[in-house]
Amino acid sequence: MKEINILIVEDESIVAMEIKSYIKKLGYTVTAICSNAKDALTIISEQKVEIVLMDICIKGELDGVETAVLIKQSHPHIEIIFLTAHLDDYNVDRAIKIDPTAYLSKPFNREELRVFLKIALRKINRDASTDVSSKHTIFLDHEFSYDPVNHTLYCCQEIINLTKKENELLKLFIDNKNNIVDFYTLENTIWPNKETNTNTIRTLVKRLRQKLKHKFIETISSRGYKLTIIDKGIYS
Amino acid sequence: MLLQEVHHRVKNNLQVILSMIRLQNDEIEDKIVMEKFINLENRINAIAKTYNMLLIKENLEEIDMQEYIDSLLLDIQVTINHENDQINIKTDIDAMIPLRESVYIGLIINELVTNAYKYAFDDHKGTVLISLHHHKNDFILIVEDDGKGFIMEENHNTLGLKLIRTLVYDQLEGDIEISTNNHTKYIIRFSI
Repeated sequence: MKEINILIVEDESIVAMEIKSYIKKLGYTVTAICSNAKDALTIISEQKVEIVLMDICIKGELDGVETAVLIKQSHPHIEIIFLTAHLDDYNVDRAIKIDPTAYLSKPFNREELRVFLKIALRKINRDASTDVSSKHTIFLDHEFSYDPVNHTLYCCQEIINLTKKENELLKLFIDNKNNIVDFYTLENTIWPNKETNTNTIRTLVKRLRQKLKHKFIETISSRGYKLTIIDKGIYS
Repeated sequence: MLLQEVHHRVKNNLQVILSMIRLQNDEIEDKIVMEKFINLENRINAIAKTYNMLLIKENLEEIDMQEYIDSLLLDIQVTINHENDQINIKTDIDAMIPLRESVYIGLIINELVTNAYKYAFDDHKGTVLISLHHHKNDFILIVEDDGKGFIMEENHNTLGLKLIRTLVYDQLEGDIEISTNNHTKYIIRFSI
């Protein structure tokens, strides 16, 4: 199992000891235990932390929710699990704004904590995998996007199946987005070893256009085609 | 507001007590001793849970027993359930009870259900029924199972049964009727 580092922010030292003892048993690593916002923020800036177990009533000026908000601002990928005796709406409503993995009541149940740590872990892994591809994802508009790493076209997060040639054509267009791809370049890139004619090209473009709901690709008379992305659209 | 703060303090203190028991238990390897610690943990959890039920209700004085007991049963099942257990627990509860008495009832149900899980079913299959209703001036709590029953004379001195007796007679000032020959059935009457 990949090492998962957990920070415990808890002002009752015996409770913190117990949480540490239990989560170590589960195979996670406890980065540190602290009892106030200042120490928590310092630890997070200096050490690797993936999950924070956060009490709400902690020492110092900031409470657990305020501390968690600051953590999320600087480290959005850290997952927060609140562990608290405060179940009132005021605290719950503030806490859920940062989309915590869980809000567990004290005295806490070990099984519940175990399950929510697993959920946090899954969210971390999922974020990490989407990050790799989303870093390079090219957004054509609000519904279409292209992942050049995996050569995959998406429409509303659904994969659109492309044939090998359609994919090569789309890649060529995207590599030259907002510029004209002339017939010559097109022929030589998609069919490098084969004579082809305008009809074959036209058919392939037509098929790709259908899959893109007739958006983006325009014909530039007697010269070639152009794929236009209106937005800047590249998120990296 | 002040009362809420007191409740938070109580919950935090109960968490500290539970943490100490669990820390101690983490160091124990003897299964029988471990089990005793888990029983202790469950008893404290039964008390602590009432505070969670209180805080989320507008009416601070009473507890919805259906919600409380269902939640308590889930916790008990997690701690003492064996992998191949096929023990069903059915509840038929319709009562609102003040905090003080709720704690006693939670503890009684905790003991009875734990006993049923451990001793009633040789093949780990069976059903436990729990009902709690208000009848005129009385509340009637019935906990019964379709297991093998037990011989009262041999078991009356266990801590679990001693706790049940003192809670019913001394705390709730009620009475208890037990039949254990074929299956086990406890009928507990009390008034508030």
